[in-house]
Amino acid sequence: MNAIVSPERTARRVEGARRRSATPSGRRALHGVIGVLLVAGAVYTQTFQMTSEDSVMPLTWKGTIGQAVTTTRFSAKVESITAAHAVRFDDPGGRPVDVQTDALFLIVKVSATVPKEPMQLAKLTPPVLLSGDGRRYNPTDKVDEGATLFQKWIQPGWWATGVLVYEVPRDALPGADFVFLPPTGLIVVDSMLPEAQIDLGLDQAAADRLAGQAADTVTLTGAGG
Amino acid sequence: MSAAFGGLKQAPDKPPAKYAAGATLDQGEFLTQFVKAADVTEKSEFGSIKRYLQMTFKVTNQSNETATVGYPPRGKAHGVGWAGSLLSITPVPENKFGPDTLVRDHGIDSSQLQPGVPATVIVRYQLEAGVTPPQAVTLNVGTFTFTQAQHAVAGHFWSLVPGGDENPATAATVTLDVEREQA
Repeated sequence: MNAIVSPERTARRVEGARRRSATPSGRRALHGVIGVLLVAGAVYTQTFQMTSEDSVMPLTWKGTIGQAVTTTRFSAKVESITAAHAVRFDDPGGRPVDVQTDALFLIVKVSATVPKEPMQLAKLTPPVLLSGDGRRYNPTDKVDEGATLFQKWIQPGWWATGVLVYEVPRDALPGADFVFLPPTGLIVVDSMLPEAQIDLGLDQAAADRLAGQAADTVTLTGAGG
Repeated sequence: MSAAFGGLKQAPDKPPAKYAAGATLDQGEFLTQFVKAADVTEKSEFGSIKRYLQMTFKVTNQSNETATVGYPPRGKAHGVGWAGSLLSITPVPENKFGPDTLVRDHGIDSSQLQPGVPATVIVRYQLEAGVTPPQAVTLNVGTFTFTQAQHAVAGHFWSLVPGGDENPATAATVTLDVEREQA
């Protein structure tokens, strides 16, 4: 920036202004300098502002099914995917529950680990299934969280494995990605959270096979691990 | 800036369409069929009997994100989610707690509307003993518009199309006869 005034000159002007504080012209000159500095400063700080794209887009690491994707905060891996018309799990009271859908349940078996801080998935910013045409699916609340990866602590030193279950129409499968998002705090100050986007390898033919071979019922056993 | 005054889209001046049971309204974010209203008696697993004025809808989320079924507005409080578009339900049965709103398919309850997955939504008021349900209920229903948020971080979001008076505009008035049935 060209508008930077050397401290020496500023000091001299301030002194001068103080000495002749009674004269309106000196005060006006001082105000002029302050004004120029403020405007220059304001213009300069504009360059710090992120574009809306920058502030919305998290940092994304990409990978494919079966491959560990390591970000700055965590590593995640999709072990396998299964489609089903119904899932069975034990409710918190230990009784088996059958949940059916006219769409499909996509059961994603995920492993994750962290380098330092243990973490647990958050309901507010859950890992999502991103369809090829850009629709974002949150894990279904029809399946009790106790039967999924939500219930597990992801710890340093070993891989925690569990399932996440999505209720999706058939046409959400081709080109679908799984996006692993870490939990954010209640107040989102850190908008640059890393995420792992994992290609599920579902071209049209594979998506058709997956849906066509969907199991009648898949039983989730102890967080699916 | 325009968002501060309720968004760009203004409600049309024409009076809201009149619909009956079976009709479908494109609400932008959702495609909603008004299936029926019924006077329903339910026996709990422990034998107690509850009676409801129950409205049934078939709702498909047409947006790009999982949505919440939410709850209708109550008094001056705004509603949330899909049910936020049920701007008024009259006559309102006397009920301390307001209605329950839930997605229920194959006997399983949910609060979510998944994109492209048609869902059965139930809005029901529990009727206290001795209360006679009305012959018919009338709903004023709004629609949603995709608006740019004022804060970049929030991106775009769906909000109710406003009317001339800052309140959401009624796009359709739906009258459902109340059927008697045992659940």
